[in-house]
Amino acid sequence: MQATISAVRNFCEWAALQGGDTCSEFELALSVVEWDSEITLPEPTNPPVADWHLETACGFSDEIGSPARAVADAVLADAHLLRWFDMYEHYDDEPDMAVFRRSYAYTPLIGLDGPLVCGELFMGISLQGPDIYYPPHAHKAVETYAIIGGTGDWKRGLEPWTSRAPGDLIAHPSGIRHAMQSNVEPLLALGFWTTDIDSPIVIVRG
Amino acid sequence: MKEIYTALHAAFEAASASDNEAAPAYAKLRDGIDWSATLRATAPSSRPVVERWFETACSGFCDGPMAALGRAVQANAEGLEWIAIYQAYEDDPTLAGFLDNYAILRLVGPHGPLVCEDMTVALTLQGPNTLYPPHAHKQEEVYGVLAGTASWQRGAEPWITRQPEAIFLHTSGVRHATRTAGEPLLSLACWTHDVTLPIVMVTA
Repeated sequence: MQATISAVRNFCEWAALQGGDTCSEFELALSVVEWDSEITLPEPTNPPVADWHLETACGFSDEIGSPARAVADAVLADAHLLRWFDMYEHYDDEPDMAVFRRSYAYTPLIGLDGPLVCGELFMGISLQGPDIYYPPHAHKAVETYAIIGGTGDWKRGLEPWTSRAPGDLIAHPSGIRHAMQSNVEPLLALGFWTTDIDSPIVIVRG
Repeated sequence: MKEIYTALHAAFEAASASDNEAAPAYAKLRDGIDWSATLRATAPSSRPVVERWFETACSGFCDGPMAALGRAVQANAEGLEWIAIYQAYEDDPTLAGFLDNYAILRLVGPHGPLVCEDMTVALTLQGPNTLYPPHAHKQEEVYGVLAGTASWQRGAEPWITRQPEAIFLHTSGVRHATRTAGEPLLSLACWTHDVTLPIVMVTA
Protein backbone atom coordinates (compact mmCIF):
# COMPACT_ATOMS: atom_id res chain seq x y z
CA MET A 1 0.00 0.00 0.00
CA GLN A 2 2.98 2.27 0.50
CA ALA A 3 3.51 2.19 -3.27
CA THR A 4 0.03 3.58 -3.91
CA ILE A 5 0.25 6.25 -1.19
CA SER A 6 3.63 7.41 -2.53
CA ALA A 7 2.39 7.52 -6.12
CA VAL A 8 -0.71 9.46 -5.04
CA ARG A 9 1.44 11.96 -3.14
CA ASN A 10 3.62 12.45 -6.22
CA PHE A 11 0.50 12.86 -8.33
CA CYS A 12 -0.81 15.56 -5.96
CA GLU A 13 2.52 17.41 -6.18
CA TRP A 14 2.29 17.33 -9.96
CA ALA A 15 -1.39 18.32 -9.99
CA ALA A 16 -0.79 21.27 -7.62
CA LEU A 17 1.55 22.70 -10.26
CA GLN A 18 -0.99 22.45 -13.08
CA GLY A 19 -2.97 25.54 -12.01
CA GLY A 20 -6.69 25.72 -12.72
CA ASP A 21 -9.56 25.28 -10.31
CA THR A 22 -8.18 22.12 -8.66
CA CYS A 23 -4.77 23.55 -7.76
CA SER A 24 -5.73 24.80 -4.29
CA GLU A 25 -7.40 21.49 -3.41
CA PHE A 26 -4.29 19.47 -4.29
CA GLU A 27 -2.21 21.94 -2.26
CA LEU A 28 -4.58 21.43 0.65
CA ALA A 29 -4.26 17.65 0.35
CA LEU A 30 -0.49 17.93 0.38
CA SER A 31 -0.56 20.06 3.53
CA VAL A 32 -3.20 18.34 5.69
CA VAL A 33 -2.27 14.69 5.09
CA GLU A 34 0.54 13.22 7.20
CA TRP A 35 1.90 11.25 4.30
CA ASP A 36 4.53 9.36 6.27
CA SER A 37 2.25 8.16 9.07
CA GLU A 38 1.46 4.50 9.57
CA ILE A 39 -0.79 2.67 7.11
CA THR A 40 -3.38 0.29 8.57
CA LEU A 41 -4.47 -2.36 6.13
CA PRO A 42 -8.07 -3.59 6.27
CA GLU A 43 -9.19 -7.08 5.26
CA PRO A 44 -8.97 -6.99 1.44
CA THR A 45 -11.93 -7.78 -0.81
CA ASN A 46 -12.20 -8.55 -4.50
CA PRO A 47 -15.69 -7.71 -5.76
CA PRO A 48 -16.57 -8.64 -9.37
CA VAL A 49 -16.00 -5.12 -10.70
CA ALA A 50 -12.43 -5.13 -9.37
CA ASP A 51 -11.83 -8.70 -10.46
CA TRP A 52 -13.01 -8.00 -14.01
CA HIS A 53 -12.04 -4.40 -14.67
CA LEU A 54 -9.24 -3.09 -12.44
CA GLU A 55 -6.38 -4.41 -14.55
CA THR A 56 -8.05 -3.24 -17.76
CA ALA A 57 -8.66 0.23 -16.34
CA CYS A 58 -5.01 0.50 -15.29
CA GLY A 59 -4.04 -0.53 -18.81
CA PHE A 60 -5.95 2.45 -20.21
CA SER A 61 -3.84 4.91 -18.21
CA ASP A 62 -1.52 7.67 -19.38
CA GLU A 63 1.91 7.19 -21.00
CA ILE A 64 4.77 5.58 -19.09
CA GLY A 65 6.47 8.06 -16.80
CA SER A 66 3.37 10.18 -16.28
CA PRO A 67 2.04 10.75 -12.73
CA ALA A 68 -1.31 9.13 -13.59
CA ARG A 69 0.40 6.03 -14.98
CA ALA A 70 2.51 5.79 -11.81
CA VAL A 71 -0.67 5.72 -9.71
CA ALA A 72 -2.24 3.10 -12.02
CA ASP A 73 0.84 0.89 -11.79
CA ALA A 74 0.99 1.23 -7.99
CA VAL A 75 -2.72 0.43 -7.60
CA LEU A 76 -2.25 -2.66 -9.74
CA ALA A 77 0.74 -3.73 -7.64
CA ASP A 78 -1.27 -3.18 -4.43
CA ALA A 79 -4.52 -4.62 -5.80
CA HIS A 80 -4.39 -7.64 -3.47
CA LEU A 81 -4.43 -5.26 -0.44
CA LEU A 82 -7.46 -3.18 -1.36
CA ARG A 83 -10.81 -3.30 0.37
CA TRP A 84 -13.63 -2.14 -1.91
CA PHE A 85 -16.93 -0.61 -0.80
CA ASP A 86 -20.41 0.01 -2.16
CA MET A 87 -21.76 3.32 -0.82
CA TYR A 88 -25.27 3.08 -2.25
CA GLU A 89 -26.78 0.14 -0.37
CA HIS A 90 -29.84 2.23 0.50
CA TYR A 91 -30.64 2.49 -3.25
CA ASP A 92 -31.09 -1.26 -3.56
CA ASP A 93 -34.72 -0.83 -4.66
CA GLU A 94 -33.92 1.29 -7.74
CA PRO A 95 -33.33 -0.72 -10.96
CA ASP A 96 -30.76 1.61 -12.58
CA MET A 97 -28.85 1.81 -9.32
CA ALA A 98 -28.80 -1.98 -9.11
CA VAL A 99 -27.06 -2.09 -12.51
CA PHE A 100 -24.67 0.69 -11.48
CA ARG A 101 -23.84 -0.86 -8.10
CA ARG A 102 -22.86 -4.16 -9.70
CA SER A 103 -20.16 -2.34 -11.68
CA TYR A 104 -18.91 0.32 -9.28
CA ALA A 105 -16.80 0.28 -6.13
CA TYR A 106 -14.39 2.52 -4.31
CA THR A 107 -11.45 1.81 -2.07
CA PRO A 108 -10.49 4.37 0.60
CA LEU A 109 -6.87 5.51 0.78
CA ILE A 110 -6.96 8.39 3.27
CA GLY A 111 -9.61 9.39 5.80
CA LEU A 112 -11.01 9.02 9.28
CA ASP A 113 -10.88 5.22 9.00
CA GLY A 114 -7.61 5.00 7.07
CA PRO A 115 -5.75 3.17 5.64
CA LEU A 116 -3.80 6.45 6.10
CA VAL A 117 -5.62 8.27 8.92
CA CYS A 118 -6.60 11.91 8.33
CA GLY A 119 -9.45 13.85 9.93
CA GLU A 120 -9.56 16.67 7.41
CA LEU A 121 -9.66 14.94 4.05
CA PHE A 122 -11.17 11.85 2.51
CA MET A 123 -9.48 10.28 -0.50
CA GLY A 124 -10.16 7.09 -2.39
CA ILE A 125 -9.98 5.39 -5.75
CA SER A 126 -13.17 4.64 -7.65
CA LEU A 127 -13.64 1.99 -10.30
CA GLN A 128 -16.53 1.98 -12.76
CA GLY A 129 -16.98 -0.85 -15.25
CA PRO A 130 -17.44 -0.24 -19.01
CA ASP A 131 -20.80 0.94 -20.38
CA ILE A 132 -22.02 2.01 -16.96
CA TYR A 133 -23.97 5.16 -16.09
CA TYR A 134 -23.37 6.73 -12.69
CA PRO A 135 -26.50 8.87 -12.32
CA PRO A 136 -26.29 12.54 -11.26
CA HIS A 137 -25.57 12.89 -7.57
CA ALA A 138 -24.67 15.68 -5.17
CA HIS A 139 -23.10 16.22 -1.75
CA LYS A 140 -22.01 19.15 0.37
CA ALA A 141 -18.35 18.12 0.30
CA VAL A 142 -16.08 19.97 -2.12
CA GLU A 143 -14.72 17.24 -4.38
CA THR A 144 -11.73 16.92 -6.66
CA TYR A 145 -11.21 14.14 -9.18
CA ALA A 146 -8.22 13.04 -11.20
CA ILE A 147 -8.60 10.51 -13.99
CA ILE A 148 -6.11 7.67 -13.55
CA GLY A 149 -7.27 5.14 -16.14
CA GLY A 150 -9.90 5.06 -18.88
CA THR A 151 -11.47 7.76 -21.00
CA GLY A 152 -15.14 8.41 -20.31
CA ASP A 153 -17.79 11.12 -20.28
CA TRP A 154 -18.30 13.36 -17.27
CA LYS A 155 -21.03 15.90 -16.61
CA ARG A 156 -21.08 18.72 -14.09
CA GLY A 157 -24.21 20.76 -13.29
CA LEU A 158 -25.77 22.13 -16.48
CA GLU A 159 -22.55 21.87 -18.48
CA PRO A 160 -22.47 19.54 -21.49
CA TRP A 161 -21.03 16.05 -21.23
CA THR A 162 -17.25 16.23 -21.55
CA SER A 163 -14.83 13.46 -22.48
CA ARG A 164 -12.15 13.14 -19.80
CA ALA A 165 -8.87 11.28 -20.23
CA PRO A 166 -6.13 10.10 -17.83
CA GLY A 167 -4.37 13.05 -16.23
CA ASP A 168 -7.46 15.29 -16.42
CA LEU A 169 -8.39 17.11 -13.20
CA ILE A 170 -12.00 17.97 -12.30
CA ALA A 171 -13.39 20.29 -9.60
CA HIS A 172 -16.86 19.69 -8.16
CA PRO A 173 -17.90 22.69 -6.02
CA SER A 174 -20.13 22.08 -3.00
CA GLY A 175 -23.59 20.79 -3.93
CA ILE A 176 -23.09 20.58 -7.70
CA ARG A 177 -24.64 17.64 -9.52
CA HIS A 178 -22.23 15.40 -11.38
CA ALA A 179 -22.56 12.22 -13.41
CA MET A 180 -20.23 9.82 -15.24
CA GLN A 181 -20.79 7.59 -18.27
CA SER A 182 -18.18 4.98 -19.11
CA ASN A 183 -18.01 3.70 -22.65
CA VAL A 184 -15.73 0.94 -23.93
CA GLU A 185 -13.11 1.54 -21.24
CA PRO A 186 -13.65 1.15 -17.51
CA LEU A 187 -12.87 4.23 -15.40
CA LEU A 188 -10.35 4.44 -12.59
CA ALA A 189 -10.26 7.79 -10.78
CA LEU A 190 -8.67 9.33 -7.74
CA GLY A 191 -11.21 11.37 -5.82
CA PHE A 192 -11.05 13.37 -2.63
CA TRP A 193 -13.16 15.57 -0.37
CA THR A 194 -11.63 18.61 1.28
CA THR A 195 -14.66 19.84 3.26
CA ASP A 196 -17.51 18.10 5.09
CA ILE A 197 -15.85 14.70 4.82
CA ASP A 198 -18.84 12.93 6.40
CA SER A 199 -21.29 14.37 3.84
CA PRO A 200 -24.15 12.17 2.69
CA ILE A 201 -24.63 11.70 -1.07
CA VAL A 202 -28.01 11.93 -2.78
CA ILE A 203 -28.87 10.67 -6.27
CA VAL A 204 -30.64 13.56 -8.06
CA ARG A 205 -33.40 12.64 -10.53
CA GLY A 206 -34.08 15.86 -12.35
CA MET B 1 -53.31 17.68 20.33
CA LYS B 2 -55.83 15.00 19.39
CA GLU B 3 -57.72 17.63 17.42
CA ILE B 4 -54.64 18.09 15.18
CA TYR B 5 -54.53 14.41 14.27
CA THR B 6 -58.24 14.26 13.58
CA ALA B 7 -57.80 17.17 11.15
CA LEU B 8 -54.66 15.58 9.67
CA HIS B 9 -56.50 12.32 9.01
CA ALA B 10 -59.35 14.25 7.38
CA ALA B 11 -56.86 16.15 5.18
CA PHE B 12 -55.27 12.85 4.09
CA GLU B 13 -58.71 11.41 3.41
CA ALA B 14 -59.64 14.34 1.17
CA ALA B 15 -56.28 14.34 -0.64
CA SER B 16 -56.50 10.57 -1.21
CA ALA B 17 -59.88 10.98 -2.87
CA SER B 18 -58.65 13.66 -5.27
CA ASP B 19 -57.39 13.03 -8.80
CA ASN B 20 -54.09 14.74 -7.98
CA GLU B 21 -50.82 12.92 -8.67
CA ALA B 22 -50.18 13.09 -4.91
CA ALA B 23 -53.32 11.07 -4.08
CA PRO B 24 -51.66 7.61 -3.88
CA ALA B 25 -49.02 8.88 -1.45
CA TYR B 26 -51.67 10.52 0.69
CA ALA B 27 -53.60 7.24 0.75
CA LYS B 28 -50.43 5.45 1.82
CA LEU B 29 -50.03 7.92 4.68
CA ARG B 30 -53.65 7.61 5.72
CA ASP B 31 -53.44 3.82 5.75
CA GLY B 32 -49.90 3.40 7.07
CA ILE B 33 -50.03 5.59 10.16
CA ASP B 34 -51.28 4.05 13.41
CA TRP B 35 -53.68 6.82 14.38
CA SER B 36 -54.46 5.17 17.71
CA ALA B 37 -50.85 5.24 18.94
CA THR B 38 -50.15 7.16 22.15
CA LEU B 39 -48.72 10.61 21.54
CA ARG B 40 -45.17 11.02 22.80
CA ALA B 41 -44.56 14.06 25.00
CA THR B 42 -42.72 16.91 23.26
CA ALA B 43 -40.43 19.59 24.63
CA PRO B 44 -42.00 22.96 23.78
CA SER B 45 -39.68 25.08 21.66
CA SER B 46 -39.99 27.95 19.26
CA ARG B 47 -37.91 29.73 16.66
CA PRO B 48 -37.72 33.42 15.75
CA VAL B 49 -39.53 32.78 12.46
CA VAL B 50 -42.40 31.17 14.40
CA GLU B 51 -42.65 34.08 16.85
CA ARG B 52 -42.63 36.55 14.01
CA TRP B 53 -44.76 34.85 11.33
CA PHE B 54 -46.91 31.97 12.63
CA GLU B 55 -49.92 34.11 13.58
CA THR B 56 -49.64 36.12 10.36
CA ALA B 57 -49.60 32.87 8.38
CA CYS B 58 -52.71 31.69 10.25
CA SER B 59 -54.59 34.77 9.05
CA GLY B 60 -54.32 33.29 5.55
CA PHE B 61 -56.40 30.15 6.05
CA CYS B 62 -59.06 29.65 3.38
CA ASP B 63 -61.73 26.96 3.42
CA GLY B 64 -60.78 23.34 3.10
CA PRO B 65 -59.14 20.40 4.81
CA MET B 66 -55.67 22.00 4.85
CA ALA B 67 -57.09 25.14 6.49
CA ALA B 68 -58.94 22.96 9.02
CA LEU B 69 -55.63 21.31 9.88
CA GLY B 70 -54.04 24.73 10.22
CA ARG B 71 -56.79 25.94 12.53
CA ALA B 72 -56.38 22.84 14.71
CA VAL B 73 -52.66 23.56 14.99
CA GLN B 74 -53.37 27.22 15.75
CA ALA B 75 -55.81 26.24 18.51
CA ASN B 76 -53.15 24.00 20.05
CA ALA B 77 -50.19 26.30 19.44
CA GLU B 78 -49.08 26.35 23.08
CA GLY B 79 -46.37 23.80 23.75
CA LEU B 80 -45.57 22.88 20.16
CA GLU B 81 -42.00 21.86 19.37
CA TRP B 82 -40.81 23.93 16.40
CA ILE B 83 -37.28 23.04 15.38
CA ALA B 84 -34.57 23.98 12.91
CA ILE B 85 -33.27 21.40 10.47
CA TYR B 86 -30.15 21.55 8.27
CA GLN B 87 -27.62 21.67 11.12
CA ALA B 88 -25.04 20.41 8.60
CA TYR B 89 -25.45 23.66 6.64
CA GLU B 90 -25.22 26.15 9.51
CA ASP B 91 -21.68 27.05 8.41
CA ASP B 92 -22.83 28.00 4.90
CA PRO B 93 -23.25 31.80 4.71
CA THR B 94 -25.31 31.54 1.52
CA LEU B 95 -28.01 29.69 3.47
CA ALA B 96 -28.16 31.98 6.51
CA GLY B 97 -31.16 33.93 5.20
CA PHE B 98 -33.10 30.73 4.61
CA LEU B 99 -32.15 28.99 7.85
CA ASP B 100 -33.23 32.05 9.88
CA ASN B 101 -36.61 32.03 8.15
CA TYR B 102 -37.56 28.38 8.24
CA ALA B 103 -38.73 25.98 10.95
CA ILE B 104 -40.60 22.70 11.06
CA LEU B 105 -43.07 21.13 13.45
CA ARG B 106 -42.95 17.34 13.49
CA LEU B 107 -46.35 15.64 13.74
CA VAL B 108 -45.65 12.01 12.74
CA GLY B 109 -42.38 10.07 12.49
CA PRO B 110 -39.70 8.19 14.41
CA HIS B 111 -39.42 11.17 16.80
CA GLY B 112 -43.17 11.50 17.24
CA PRO B 113 -45.29 12.98 18.66
CA LEU B 114 -47.27 10.29 16.82
CA VAL B 115 -44.62 7.61 16.45
CA CYS B 116 -44.25 6.02 13.01
CA GLU B 117 -41.00 4.39 11.89
CA ASP B 118 -41.40 4.51 8.11
CA MET B 119 -43.33 7.69 7.31
CA THR B 120 -43.11 11.30 8.46
CA VAL B 121 -45.45 14.26 8.54
CA ALA B 122 -44.38 17.79 9.46
CA LEU B 123 -45.60 21.34 9.14
CA THR B 124 -43.15 23.83 7.69
CA LEU B 125 -43.15 27.56 8.24
CA GLN B 126 -41.22 29.78 5.84
CA GLY B 127 -41.05 33.55 6.32
CA PRO B 128 -41.86 35.99 3.50
CA ASN B 129 -39.36 36.86 0.74
CA THR B 130 -37.33 33.77 1.45
CA LEU B 131 -35.85 31.24 -0.96
CA TYR B 132 -35.63 27.64 0.15
CA PRO B 133 -32.91 26.66 -2.34
CA PRO B 134 -33.02 23.54 -4.52
CA HIS B 135 -32.50 20.35 -2.56
CA ALA B 136 -33.06 16.64 -3.11
CA HIS B 137 -33.64 13.45 -1.17
CA LYS B 138 -34.51 9.88 -2.00
CA GLN B 139 -37.80 10.14 -0.14
CA GLU B 140 -40.90 10.65 -2.25
CA GLU B 141 -42.62 13.70 -0.79
CA VAL B 142 -46.09 15.18 -0.85
CA TYR B 143 -46.86 18.75 0.08
CA GLY B 144 -50.03 20.57 1.01
CA VAL B 145 -50.44 24.31 1.38
CA LEU B 146 -52.17 25.34 4.61
CA ALA B 147 -51.79 29.12 4.22
CA GLY B 148 -49.87 31.53 2.03
CA THR B 149 -49.34 31.77 -1.70
CA ALA B 150 -45.81 30.82 -2.75
CA SER B 151 -43.89 29.43 -5.74
CA TRP B 152 -42.39 26.01 -6.20
CA GLN B 153 -39.93 24.65 -8.70
CA ARG B 154 -39.43 20.98 -9.50
CA GLY B 155 -36.30 19.86 -11.36
CA ALA B 156 -35.83 22.06 -14.44
CA GLU B 157 -39.56 22.90 -14.68
CA PRO B 158 -40.68 26.53 -14.50
CA TRP B 159 -41.70 28.03 -11.15
CA ILE B 160 -45.36 27.38 -10.31
CA THR B 161 -47.44 29.58 -8.00
CA ARG B 162 -49.51 27.50 -5.61
CA GLN B 163 -52.46 28.64 -3.53
CA PRO B 164 -53.75 27.44 -0.16
CA GLU B 165 -55.24 23.91 -0.31
CA ALA B 166 -52.95 22.92 -3.22
CA ILE B 167 -51.42 19.45 -2.95
CA PHE B 168 -48.53 18.20 -5.05
CA LEU B 169 -45.89 15.53 -5.38
CA HIS B 170 -42.09 15.49 -5.45
CA THR B 171 -40.96 12.16 -6.87
CA SER B 172 -37.94 10.35 -5.45
CA GLY B 173 -34.69 12.29 -5.92
CA VAL B 174 -36.16 15.26 -7.81
CA ARG B 175 -34.72 18.70 -7.00
CA HIS B 176 -37.22 21.16 -5.62
CA ALA B 177 -37.19 24.72 -4.30
CA THR B 178 -39.72 27.04 -2.65
CA ARG B 179 -39.86 30.82 -2.89
CA THR B 180 -42.12 33.03 -0.80
CA ALA B 181 -43.10 36.56 -1.76
CA GLY B 182 -44.97 38.91 0.58
CA GLU B 183 -46.71 36.21 2.62
CA PRO B 184 -45.35 33.61 5.01
CA LEU B 185 -46.03 30.01 4.02
CA LEU B 186 -47.43 27.31 6.26
CA SER B 187 -47.36 23.93 4.56
CA LEU B 188 -47.58 20.22 5.17
CA ALA B 189 -44.68 18.01 4.06
CA CYS B 190 -44.83 14.21 4.22
CA TRP B 191 -42.43 11.40 3.36
CA THR B 192 -43.66 7.89 2.65
CA HIS B 193 -40.41 5.89 2.78
CA ASP B 194 -36.69 6.00 3.64
CA VAL B 195 -37.39 8.65 6.29
CA THR B 196 -33.93 8.44 7.87
CA LEU B 197 -32.07 9.30 4.65
CA PRO B 198 -30.53 12.77 4.26
CA ILE B 199 -31.48 15.92 2.37
CA VAL B 200 -28.72 17.46 0.25
CA MET B 201 -28.69 21.02 -1.10
CA VAL B 202 -28.11 20.96 -4.88
CA THR B 203 -26.36 24.09 -6.11
CA ALA B 204 -26.26 23.46 -9.85
